[in-house]
Amino acid sequence: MKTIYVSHLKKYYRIFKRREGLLSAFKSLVSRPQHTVKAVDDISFSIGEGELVGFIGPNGAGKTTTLKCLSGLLYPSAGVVEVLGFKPFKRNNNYLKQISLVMGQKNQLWWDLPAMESLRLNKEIYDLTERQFRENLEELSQLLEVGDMAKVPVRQLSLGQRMKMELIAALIHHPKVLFLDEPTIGLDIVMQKKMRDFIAGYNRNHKATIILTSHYMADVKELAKRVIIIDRGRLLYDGNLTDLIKKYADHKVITAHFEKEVKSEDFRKLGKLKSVNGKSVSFTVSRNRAKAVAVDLLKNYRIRDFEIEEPELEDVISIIFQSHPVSHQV
Amino acid sequence: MKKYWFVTKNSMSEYLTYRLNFVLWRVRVVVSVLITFFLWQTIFSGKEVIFNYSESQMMTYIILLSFISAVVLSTQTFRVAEEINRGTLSNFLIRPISYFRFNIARDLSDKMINIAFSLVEVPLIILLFRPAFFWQTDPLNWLLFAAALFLSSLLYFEISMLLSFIGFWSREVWAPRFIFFILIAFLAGTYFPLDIVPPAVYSILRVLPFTYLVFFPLRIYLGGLDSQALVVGFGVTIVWLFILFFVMRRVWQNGLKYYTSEGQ
Repeated sequence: MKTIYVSHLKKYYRIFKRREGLLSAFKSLVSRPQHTVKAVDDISFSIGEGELVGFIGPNGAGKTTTLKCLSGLLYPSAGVVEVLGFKPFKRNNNYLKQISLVMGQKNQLWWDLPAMESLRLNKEIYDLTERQFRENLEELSQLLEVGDMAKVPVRQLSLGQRMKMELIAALIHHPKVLFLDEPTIGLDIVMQKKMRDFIAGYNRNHKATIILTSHYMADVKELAKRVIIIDRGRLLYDGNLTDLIKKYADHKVITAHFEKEVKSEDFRKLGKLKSVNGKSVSFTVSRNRAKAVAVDLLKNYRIRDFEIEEPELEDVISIIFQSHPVSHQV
Repeated sequence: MKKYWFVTKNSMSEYLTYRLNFVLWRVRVVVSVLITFFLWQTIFSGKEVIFNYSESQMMTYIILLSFISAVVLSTQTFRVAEEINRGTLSNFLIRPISYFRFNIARDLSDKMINIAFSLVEVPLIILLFRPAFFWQTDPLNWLLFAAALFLSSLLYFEISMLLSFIGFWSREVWAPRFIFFILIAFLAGTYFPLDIVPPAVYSILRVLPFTYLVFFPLRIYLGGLDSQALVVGFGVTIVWLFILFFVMRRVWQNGLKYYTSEGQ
């Protein structure tokens, strides 16, 4: 049995349009034009136990909506969703005890109280024994290096500290399935790194199934072997991250560092220039010509250093989004 | 059940974080009691009985209002609408906890704190202004009074939850609630005893739920209700409790299908 099974999932929202201006604000008192947004439009995939999958897509692609359907917050307009054999929307307690949803921008902690009070409440909600609670708390606190922060009222914590406490509150019951929506949003580089290490560790140690959405490709690159790419509610790609790059990136990036200054004109005919910086030139060439161009360069110039790389994940992703013009809202 | 006790406990400590806010709220309650108190004292000057109420009955009614409000009308269920609209409701839906029981637990903290304060205020008002206060001596009346208060609290909970559920369909949840406050003020008896209105009007009010929020328990405390009036009163309350319970559940289930967990 697959841990997560999604088949032909659709979620449509009805929203009201309103034009700008005071007059139209008054008009909207009488009648409001409605239209349907297809936030998720016929998506199917399944995920096995212990997998860590990255969800990629631009803003409004339907990532969060999908996660909300999976965690039982939203009622699907159509299709089948099953997680751990449960129908999420029924919100069976036995289901809810095994999952968690972490949303980077929102909090479950009681704002005016020390985080410990919220954690204690969660201990009761998830039926943890005192020992389980202590152990899990100890483990999470050490991994996230939070020290005594649990005793400080939440409103006095910094964003990073709060995120850590939120994460502890969301994981105190050791969920088997974890939905992470932008877990590193707003964190500094160091904290992002720590958060990533933590997620990878949690996935490894608890064989937890994790779906992660992020705007930071670094998150996805480092954590997920498999990615699911969606745009405007449609699934564009589901598979290995490395295959994705091979499949969609028809070019490679060549960077050469020369002994002395070079003129950029010389390289225009070889490929598409990315950057020219004194003695360094970087340009893209199609995949099948990469080798020939490299040989050519080495023969004709005095080169200090030389690299042939796969294009950046960001570039690949934007190629995918551009090459799949899905018709916009109906 | 322990988890709901933690909700009550946390909610109370949250409450006490904003001490000034709370103290000012209590001041407002006391002042509004005093206003009605002096108003009726003036009306009664030189008269024995008005609208079938003796002065001591009327004064008792006015003063006990603050206590009844603390028990029945103190609630945090208006936050439900906010939680729906802001999407923070998701935090409850994602955990194995009943949102209804959570709200009852949260209301309980409100009620406990408000009751504690009004138990100080009411005797203080009585001591300071020495009104003709009527002490109910019949234990049966006390018992019925307590039972009515309990049912009224549940009734108010259901009505208030329903009002908040408007949040599923509209962001404009304060307008209906405001109208409701006005309704309560007039129809529940928080300004004057309801049976001083013309009998025709009163007979309509008696089938509406509002009467049973404040007026009915107070009337029981004051005594003099015959057994038929008691049976009808409790009967109507219980019927409304059932009706509203099913409506509330239905609206909740439908609302969840409509819920978009915005902003989250």
